[in-house]
Amino acid sequence: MSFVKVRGLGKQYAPDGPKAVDDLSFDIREGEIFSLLGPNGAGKTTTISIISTLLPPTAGEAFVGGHSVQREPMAVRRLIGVVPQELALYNDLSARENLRFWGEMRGLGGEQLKREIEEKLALTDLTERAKDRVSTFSGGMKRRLNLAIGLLGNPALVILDEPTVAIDPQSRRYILDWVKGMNAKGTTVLYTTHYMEEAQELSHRIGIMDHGKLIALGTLAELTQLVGEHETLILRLQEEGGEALAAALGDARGVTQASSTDGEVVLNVASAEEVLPIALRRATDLGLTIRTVEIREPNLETVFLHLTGRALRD
Amino acid sequence: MRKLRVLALKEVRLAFRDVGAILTMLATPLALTLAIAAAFGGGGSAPIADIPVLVLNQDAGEMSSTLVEALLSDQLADLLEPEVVTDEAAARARVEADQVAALVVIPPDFSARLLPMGGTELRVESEGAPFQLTAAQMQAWASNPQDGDTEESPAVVEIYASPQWRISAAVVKAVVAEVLERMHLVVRGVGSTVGRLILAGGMDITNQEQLLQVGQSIGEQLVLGAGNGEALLRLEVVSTRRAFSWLDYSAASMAILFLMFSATSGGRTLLIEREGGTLPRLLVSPTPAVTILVGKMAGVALTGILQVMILWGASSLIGAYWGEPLAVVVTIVALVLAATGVGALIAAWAKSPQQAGAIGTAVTLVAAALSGSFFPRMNLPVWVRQVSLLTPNAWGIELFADLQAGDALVNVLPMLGGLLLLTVAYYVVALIGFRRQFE
Amino acid sequence: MRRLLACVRIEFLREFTSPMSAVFFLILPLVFTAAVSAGLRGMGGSDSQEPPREVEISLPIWSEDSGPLTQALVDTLETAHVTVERVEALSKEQFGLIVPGAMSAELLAGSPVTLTLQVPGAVSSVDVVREALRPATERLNTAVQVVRGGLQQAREMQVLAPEDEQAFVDGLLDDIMKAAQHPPVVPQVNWGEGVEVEEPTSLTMATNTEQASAGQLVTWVQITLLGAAEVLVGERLLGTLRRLFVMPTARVSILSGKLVARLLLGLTQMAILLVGGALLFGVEWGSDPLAVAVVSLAFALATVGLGILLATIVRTRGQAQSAVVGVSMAMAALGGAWYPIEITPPVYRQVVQVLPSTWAMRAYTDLLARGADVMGVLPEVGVLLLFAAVFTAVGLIRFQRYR
Repeated sequence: MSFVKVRGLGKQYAPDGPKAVDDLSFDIREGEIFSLLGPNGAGKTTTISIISTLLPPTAGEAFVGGHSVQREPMAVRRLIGVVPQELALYNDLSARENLRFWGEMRGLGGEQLKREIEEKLALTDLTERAKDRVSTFSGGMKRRLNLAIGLLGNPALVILDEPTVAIDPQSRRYILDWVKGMNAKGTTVLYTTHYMEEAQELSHRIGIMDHGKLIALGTLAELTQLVGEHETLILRLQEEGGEALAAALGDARGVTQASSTDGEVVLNVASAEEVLPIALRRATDLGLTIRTVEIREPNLETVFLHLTGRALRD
Repeated sequence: MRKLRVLALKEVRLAFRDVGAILTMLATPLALTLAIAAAFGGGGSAPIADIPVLVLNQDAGEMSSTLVEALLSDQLADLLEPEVVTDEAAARARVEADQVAALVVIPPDFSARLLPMGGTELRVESEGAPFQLTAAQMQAWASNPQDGDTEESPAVVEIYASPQWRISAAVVKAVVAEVLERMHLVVRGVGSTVGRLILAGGMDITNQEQLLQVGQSIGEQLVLGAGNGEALLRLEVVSTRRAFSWLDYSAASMAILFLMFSATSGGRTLLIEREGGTLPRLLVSPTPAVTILVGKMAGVALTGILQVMILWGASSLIGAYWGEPLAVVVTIVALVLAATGVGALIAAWAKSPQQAGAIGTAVTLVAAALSGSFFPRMNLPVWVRQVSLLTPNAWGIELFADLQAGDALVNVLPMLGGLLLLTVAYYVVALIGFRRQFE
Repeated sequence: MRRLLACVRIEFLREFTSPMSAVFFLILPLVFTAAVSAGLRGMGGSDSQEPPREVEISLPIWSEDSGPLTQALVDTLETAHVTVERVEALSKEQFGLIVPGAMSAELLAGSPVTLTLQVPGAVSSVDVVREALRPATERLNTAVQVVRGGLQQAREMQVLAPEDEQAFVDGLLDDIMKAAQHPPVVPQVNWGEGVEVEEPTSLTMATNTEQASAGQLVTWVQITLLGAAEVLVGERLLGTLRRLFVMPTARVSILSGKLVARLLLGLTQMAILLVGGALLFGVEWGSDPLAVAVVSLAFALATVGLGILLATIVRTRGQAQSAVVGVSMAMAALGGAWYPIEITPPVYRQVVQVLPSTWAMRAYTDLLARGADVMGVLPEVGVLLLFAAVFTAVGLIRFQRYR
């Protein structure tokens, strides 16, 4: 059952300007974790802004739980909880006061609200600091509170926009575990990120976006099949000269794609075993020394590289 | 020193990047200047003009017509906009609705009271024509020139006025009083003359015809009404220094008020940076706290100087005088520094931008009230004037008053020195608070 | 409704994040009122317990005229409450009136004479002195004309010996000056039943106490209530505005909540200003408390509405601050809070009717000067409510599309 339907969605901020989102179509099934993966500027935030009724689309339409985001925004908002990338907290107030306010804005009240507040405080391990001002919280604690607010009222769909950017590994682990826990209880999750590992770990299905378009969609297995049995061979050089080496290897046998970033030469190859000696030879010819060699199994990084010719982390 | 410059320039760049804010900051002084100009008509003192006034004549005699004509005369055409009415109730209602400044009611016994001793008819042909007294009147006066000092209380020309038009009403009263006095003195004067001529033996008191003729002859030489034959006595006002002007005073005091608002809210950038997180980063850099504080306020100061300069220029175009240019520039700079000192002080001790804003507003308003921005400073009690010297507002108003009267820069140097000391005091207290809060 | 109340509540919580902020909130209006009443007292006679003070002005006069006209001038001035001080000399730096040496003789001979009022700079009483001098000189002019007329007549009739002329002139002058003390008809200002205001002491820029009190109230209220202009910018910077927009809460509720909160905060401060001022400092706010409350509420609504409208226009904190200061000061000045509006040209008076501050000043002055009741200020209240409705409506419409 599709809980979210996106059909031909488009967004252009200026009439003749570039399209932030271009002809996007996908579904999110009820109870699944769906990730939108892509580099910065791919259009992920714009997409979820439209789905969460914050922005109107300039083309196409989207539906959440059967309600149109354009024509029935209130109905949509009742079904969703949003955890924004930027913190959205009242720093002068306590955690409890924040939760109370946002709960009331969700339409909760009375005993139900009180229960919700205590539950979320416990879930995010903030019960002991409930009365303290948010401005006294650490960054990780603020993130957890930010998350808790998004979950007030146990919405059917939770939208998380790059929730793990610039946080410590502990807090990141916490969030990822929690998303899985939520989903286990039946919550549908739309998750955007530019971290491949997260998308791989969490998602039932992944949509890969680049320059506003959806360039691939499917489970991890389906996506990696796009690149076939291809592996990724990563060579790190002692000195400058990556571009030259990549150029030299571009037409080598068994190499489907070669690119260079930050002193790394990334090769998409049919078999790393076969290409490695060729690479070493070409490097020697150019007078370059290879410091380390890494062989990676096909993953989303590979997929992205295969589809766009660029690394995901650009 | 270099760090100070870097900080200051950063502040200035940030301040001037927000185009919308700049426009508002500059547009407001101009709007205020226009407000002053419109209110004062560009002149020195407020010219009251075109006062709407109603005239109701309940008297049947001729003297009242003279008064009415005086009010309608050309000489008063700029000052008054009179309208003769007959419906008293309606007229009073118009006053109560504040549509007109006042209603002048000439009572039924007006002519009789102005000419005691008889109720015989008096013919007055038109304004400027000689009037005639009856022989009986002249005889009565002649026999007793001092008579007329009755114990009766005077009749009243009621000026029914609107409290929204207080000054106008006072002007109307003054005009009516002037006309009344002239009429009264002329009448009495003629009578007294005749009396004294009789006493001097020049006239036979029983010769009615002669009395009448003499009275007429004298009367011919006088003109009743608001006009004056030849006003021989004139008043000239000479200012050895530049005379006081409300336009000058208001332009300067409004500029100072506005500056204080800008400076006290500008100090908030300190606190906003703390919220944003960039301030702590500054503080752990090897930069002394005083440099940070001063550097941040530099942007506020530069903006303040620009604003006041614009006000100076714009108000000068409409006729306001601030003083000798060099002296004005130096004074403006000194005032801006003092104002930013207050802003820094508030920001250094406040806990949040909102609190700083509220306190800044209140401080500015209180300072303005005590210093003479809202009430003329010279009318304030001495102790209020002294207390207000804790604020830049008071110093500013005093300095500009001196400069506007004609003092040169060298004359106001002592005061500028005092202001500088005050500024240093502000910054010292600000620094203490700054250290406490941020370190 | 719950959501609206939640929005109101959060504004209050954020306003009073510490006990100190509550203290400031309550104390600052009182301090301001104290300053204002100190200033008002200085202008004389605002305290209801004391009788209005007559403003005494002193004027030094230097005259070498031995004739009777100088004394006549002095006598006239003194009845106008000017304390005359005859001085031996007057240097250029001193304030005073210079009477030419042969004034009496010259005037009686028909030659023009000029009195010189020397004003060395900013003398506060110069306007009042000039206004007192005008009727005095007019009186003398009339007297001189009458006396000259009489003298001429006497000469024509040849009834006086030359040595008797002086006595004739003196006697006539004396009669006239005495007559001037007993006018048979006088003008008297009547402000209406139950209205007790003072006549201004100066005919130029007289700031009467009622206008000053009202003006201060209007100034304070505008600056603080227009501060509502910052409500949206603040939330946008915090990131909470975005979150608010994805909540199942209508935008109308969000903005209305802020408006109501700002209104309540503003009304509290107004109440402190009004009640505190009246009780502690004897500031007079009129005789009908209900009328004062109604006008204040209407004005507060109009101002807060404008503040909310501004909030939907400004994009940065800097713009918000500039807008608040600029708009509130301009409206206060133009609306007659800082000088009586009757001194302005008729066109000006028409144009400024587009400002709520003009109507508020009119209403308050009616209350304070006339002791008007609610019915008396109903027109102004109506207009203010209309302003409130328009500003709020436009603000709400704009907020629907706010990003």
